Amino acid sequence: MRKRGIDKDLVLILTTTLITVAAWVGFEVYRAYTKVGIPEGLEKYLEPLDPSISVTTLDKLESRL
Amino acid sequence: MALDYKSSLARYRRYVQLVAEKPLLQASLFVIFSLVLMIVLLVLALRPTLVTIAGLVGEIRQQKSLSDQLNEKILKVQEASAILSQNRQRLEVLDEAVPDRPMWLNMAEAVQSTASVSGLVVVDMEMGPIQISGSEPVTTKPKDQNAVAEESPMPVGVAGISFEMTATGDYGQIRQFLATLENLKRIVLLSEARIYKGDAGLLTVTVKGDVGYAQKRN
Repeated sequence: MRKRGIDKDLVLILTTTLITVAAWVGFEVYRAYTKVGIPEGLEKYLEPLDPSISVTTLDKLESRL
Repeated sequence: MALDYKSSLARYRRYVQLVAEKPLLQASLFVIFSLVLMIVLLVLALRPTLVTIAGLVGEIRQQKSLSDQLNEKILKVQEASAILSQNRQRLEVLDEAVPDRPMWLNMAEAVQSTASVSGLVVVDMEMGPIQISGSEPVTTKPKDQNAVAEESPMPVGVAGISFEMTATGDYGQIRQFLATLENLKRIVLLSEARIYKGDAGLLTVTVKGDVGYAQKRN
């Protein structure tokens, strides 16, 4: 009876450990997937650029003396 | 010592025989070994593999995203280049409006010329501080802690040179001069114009303002 109790406890502990380890592995995998690593020096090339030019302003400037 | 070793082995053999005889105990032992094996495999084999795979997949995703952004930027640069080619001739007027250097002499001549055309007589003209060479001018005057910081009327990226001039003439000439000054190709922001009557009956005008030039980008 005592031995069966020890087995049951051992299975419970091992199952809990397995779940914990599985969760830990899951978080590790998620962290590795979402890790941001933009190469150094590339950020300045990613700055947004507006290619439009204000023709109205040029017209106004041209109309000046 | 050798006797103890043999007796221990015999004891374990008896235990294994006992386990083999009892199916319930055998099944229980298999469950425990399976769980232990799963934990060991998960930690030692699966975890590093999965982390490496996830890291590589994540990196591929990021590189793809970066590539898309860079492609988009290249398209924008090409578009900007095409627009620049189309309007290159017209951009000279922009260089004239906001030159990349102070060009204070040209400005002084333009103001003088405008005053002459309007019929005004320039009495006095002051410009500055002006950066002739080197870095931006710095003041050696100690800062007054209570003084309110003077805000430049120029937009961001444009440095201003303040000027002040005094001229004499009649009202019509002053009005024409101010209108012409505000409409020069070089951008001039007038902040103050004071007109008062002089001794000889002529009007004297004092004009304060700023002319801009493009600041060098670091």
